[in-house]
Formats: sequence, structure tokens, C-alpha cells
Amino acid sequence: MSDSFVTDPVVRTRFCSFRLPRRAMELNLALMAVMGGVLLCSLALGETRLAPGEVWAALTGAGEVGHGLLVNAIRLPRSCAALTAGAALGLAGALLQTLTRNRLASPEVLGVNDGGLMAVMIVVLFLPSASSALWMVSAGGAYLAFLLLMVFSRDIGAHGHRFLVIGIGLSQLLRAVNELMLSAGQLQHVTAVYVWSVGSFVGRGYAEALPVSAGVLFCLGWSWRLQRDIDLFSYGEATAAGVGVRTTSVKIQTVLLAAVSAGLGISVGGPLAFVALAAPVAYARLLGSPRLSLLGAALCGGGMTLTGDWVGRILLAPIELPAGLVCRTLGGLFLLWLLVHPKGRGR
Amino acid sequence: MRIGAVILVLLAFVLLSFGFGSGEVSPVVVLRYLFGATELPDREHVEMVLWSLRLPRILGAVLVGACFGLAGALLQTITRNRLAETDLLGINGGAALGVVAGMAYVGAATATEHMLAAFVGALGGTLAVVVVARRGGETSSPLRLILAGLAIASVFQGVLGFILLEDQNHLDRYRFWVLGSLAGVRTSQLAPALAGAVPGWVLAVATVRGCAALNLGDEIAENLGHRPGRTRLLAVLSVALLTGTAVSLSGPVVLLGLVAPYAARHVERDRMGRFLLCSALFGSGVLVVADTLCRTIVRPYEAPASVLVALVGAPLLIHIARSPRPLAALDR
Repeated sequence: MSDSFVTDPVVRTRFCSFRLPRRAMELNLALMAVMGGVLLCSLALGETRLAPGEVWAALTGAGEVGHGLLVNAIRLPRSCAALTAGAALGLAGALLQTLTRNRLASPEVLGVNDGGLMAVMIVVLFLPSASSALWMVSAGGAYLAFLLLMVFSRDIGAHGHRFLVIGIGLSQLLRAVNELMLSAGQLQHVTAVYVWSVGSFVGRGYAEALPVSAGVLFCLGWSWRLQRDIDLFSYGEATAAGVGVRTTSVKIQTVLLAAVSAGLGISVGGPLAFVALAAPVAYARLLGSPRLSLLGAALCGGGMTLTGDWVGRILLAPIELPAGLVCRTLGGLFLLWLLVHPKGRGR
Repeated sequence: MRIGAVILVLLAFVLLSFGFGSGEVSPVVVLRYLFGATELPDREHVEMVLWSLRLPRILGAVLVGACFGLAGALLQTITRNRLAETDLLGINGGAALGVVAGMAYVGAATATEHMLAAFVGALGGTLAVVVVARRGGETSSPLRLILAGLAIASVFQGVLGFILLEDQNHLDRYRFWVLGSLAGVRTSQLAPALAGAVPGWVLAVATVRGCAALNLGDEIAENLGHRPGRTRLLAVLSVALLTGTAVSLSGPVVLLGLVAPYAARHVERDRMGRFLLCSALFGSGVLVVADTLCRTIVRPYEAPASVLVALVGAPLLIHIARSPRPLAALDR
């Protein structure tokens, strides 16, 4: 990290000057290129294979009607939904991990996953008629759980520790009730809820992706403002306060942003458990520096879910595997590879 | 002094648990039996309930709770991370995968076969984590251990999900196993469980000094003549044995490994040996209380153990986190 401070190009204007982190920018561009490639694959390949030219024709509305329908009405919306959910989860994970300086912190500990799952379960088991707007239900449940957490903990505590521990307690309580409901329900309902709790993008589209992506973009913009303060936080809270960061305000903003983006993330496709945890770690290892980049984590998360969704569709076609399962397995293997790979350095 | 109080409270819980149950054998009857009243109408029945139903169950709860508590405390010490729990090293994931794979592919159906499958899975998961964490030179960094554990656990969960979605019947059985229960514990299962737990305890005692040194940081520990890598390896083996035993006996009761050290730190946080002992005692205490509630609150049915551990343990966790003292401990 220290040598890149010296070698990075710096832009100086009359009003401001800033450093261009070369390695991070290269990595971000590379990630975006990979994501574009995966997006193209997921538009082209599936049960019906299309050539890249046909995909382009379908996107511009020139090709066959069937292809246009397949690409524009099914595959593209679904891929957008996956991408948005992953980006939101990656962002939430990165925010929490910076705040607590703990790699084990992830949105699961805030209880938002279990809150969302509980709301979905109640609706699926008891009010099947209301299950058309499931994403709003799960987001609502997630935010209710978060509200409960705020009420319980009153104060964030040093590095948000109090917040996290109380969050763990709450999420365990909610999970206990969930498991109880799961063991009492009928088997076909239980299977449906299980698939949701694993995370899947079957049938998701713009109806979920558009409102959620607006929220995610808002969060990303806000967290871009926070990035500088958060970088200083990694030197310790006292140091950050010493150079003029308003620590309490930054902590509150971080937790709020994390909760908002986590709720948005799980509302689209269910709680894809591993993404939020692994995306910041994977980005840091790819970069080879312990600096946590919020944008980078969001990119990594989006890439993971997009790939997971696509691989789940084609791996055992015509059977579709839930994206959450694929993300867990492939993401775990990817993290293992990063760990044993001799070049993997940094933290 | 304080540890003595904790032990006394645990004993009181055990006695209470001995007195209350799901059937018609009330605490009064138990008291009269214990004080040697000979004119009890159905003496044989009471004897059977106490010695072959309640006692093995209570012993099982004490054993399992101590294993989870101790394992959690060791794990939090060697990873220097207070959010670490026994889920972390791929142990619970391995155990769950072992049981489900055993049910799906080997045809394991009896409780003993499930126990064996869980134990094998837990040990296999931990071995995989250790192998991965030790590859590539820098052997003993706690973060490598955590990340390797996370990655392996995630892969296990993924594979588990594939098996569960393949056939609804597996999901049907898994959803009950994952809740955990001490209902089926018999005296005959306690001996093999002890055979798994005692080596774990011995290993834990052997690593106490090394773990205490790890608290000071790896470099200082090395300068004091300890070998952090070796300490971590031994501690991980101990955790694997303890958790494998506990999970195979009761199913995954995850929260215990987190709550027990957290509460123990409230009583004793400087001397490692006492801290570990305290964690084990707290684990036992919470599980005994939870198991007693399991038997009594929805009488005559059984409530699942993990749910009640959450109902007992989570408020305890929240209460401790809200009280001002441990926050000072966290800031250190």
C-alpha cells in the first residue's frame, strides 16, 4: 500500500487535487470487463443458444420476435436483478467490515436476513394470496428487524461492537422462530421457503431490479462520499478523530447505509449468504492491499451473483439450480483458490 | 471465588432439571424419592424415569454444553476474533453434510449411525480447513484460518443444498436434525461421546499456556518460547474433537459457542485456564436450562433444543452487551 502512494499519478487543479490509485482503477476496469463478458454469456447461453450477433439484434429490436422476447423480457431483466442484488450485498458487507474492522462481520449479523426470511415465511405459510409482492415483504421484514435492533442497542459502541453482538442475539432469536415455523409447516411450503432462503433469481425482473437499483445507486453515491473517512478509520478510531473525522456521525452513516443496502440486497433474490462476506475479501486479495474499496466490493458482489445465476441456469439444464447455492459453492472455491494461490498476498 | 459461584449455580440447575420433566413425575415426588420415602405408590416407575430417562439426558446436556462452550472459547482465542463460533472451521457444515450424505447415499437411519456420520463429517471439515490454512508458507495467521474456514464451510453448505434440493425427503429429515435435540440420549451413547470429548479436553488443557501467550500477540508469544503455529494446530484439533462429539450427540446448537465465552469473559478474562473452565461451565448451564425448558414448556411434547438455546442464550447475550462493563473489555 505504501509504495503505491508514491507511484500513483496525482491530478492537481486550482480547486482540488487527488490521487489516482492506478492499481485499483485497473482492477475495477478489469472487473467491469469480466462482468460485461459474463452478462453477454448469460444473455446468449441458456437452454436456447444465441450467437452474439443475434443477441445484439434482439437488444436493438431488429432480430426475431422470439429472440427479442427471450433476451429483453426474460434474460436481461433477470441478470439485472442478480447484478443489483449482488452489488447491494457486497456494499453492505464492505461497510460493516470496515466499521468493525472484522472480516466476520456481514449483514447476517444485523438480523436483516432473518427478519426478511421471517416476513416471507409468514406470508407464504399464512397469507398465500399476498405473495405476489414478495420483495417488498422481505424488505419490510428486514427493516423491521433493523428497527428492533436500533431500539435494543440505543448506542453503536466502539467499532460498532455492541451493535453487532446485539444483532447476533436478535438474529438468533428470529432464526429460532423461523426454524420452528419451518419444522411445523407443510412440506411443499417448506421447500418453497427453503429455496427462497437459499437465494434464487428465478422469475425476477425489472419489477424488483429497477426500484432496488435506484436505492443501490443512491447508497453507492453516498458511500463514495464516506470512502475517505472510512479509509482513515482503518488506522484506528482515535487516529481518525485526531485528523478531524467526525467519528460518531461516520459510524451512524455507515451502519444505516449497510442496513439499507443489505435490506435491498436480500429483497431481490433472498439472502445470498456468502456474497456479502466474500466480496470485500476477494477484492482486497485481488488488489493485494488491505484497503477496503466500497465500489470494488460492490463490483465483486455483482459479479459473483451474476455468475452464480448464469452457472446455475446452465450447469444442470434443464434443471435450474438456485443462484445462492452456486454462489456459495463457487464463491467458496474461489476464495480457497485465492488463499492457496502463492501470489495472493495482503491480508 | 466467582468460579465457585458459577459451579454452584450449575449444580442448582442440574438439580432443578432433575426435578422437572414432561411426565407426571413431579418435583415433590422426586424429592420424596431422593429422601428415601419407601411408601411411594409407583416406586419402580419413578426410578425408571429418573435413572434411565432424566439422568442420561442431563449428563448429555452437561457434556454437550461444556464441549460447545470450551470449543467456542478456544476458537475465539486462537483466531483473536470475538465473533468466531464453531460454525467457523467448517465443523458444523461438515457435520451437517456428513449426516445428510449419510442419509442420502449410505442409508444411515439409526441415531448411532447419524452420530458417527456427524463426527466423521466434523473431523473431515476441520482437517480440510487446516490443510488449506497451512498451505503457502505463512502457516499460522489467524486471518488465514478464518478465511479458510469460511470458504470451506461455504462450499459444504452449497453441496448440502444440492443434496437437499435433489429429494424432498432429505429436506424433510434435515429440517428436524438441524433443530437439535437431547431427547434421544441414552446411557449407552454417553461412553462413546466421552471417548471423543476427553481427548479434546486433554488437548485443551495442554494448550492453555500457549493460548494465554497468543493473547499477547504472535511475536511476543514466540519470544516467550511458544510456537504459535503449533498451539493453533493443537487447539484446532481439540475444537474439532469437542464440537464433533457435541454435534453428533445433540445436533448443531450453534449459539452456545458464542454465548458461553462471552458470558465467561464477564467473570474471568485474564487467566486463560479459568476463562476456559468458565466457558465450559456457562455452556453447560445454558444448555441444562434450555433442555429443561424443552421438556416442560410444551408438555407433553418436546421443543427443539437449538430454539430454546436461542431463547435462553440470545437474551443473555443482549443483556451482557447492553450492560456497560464488557464494552470496556471489548475496547482493550
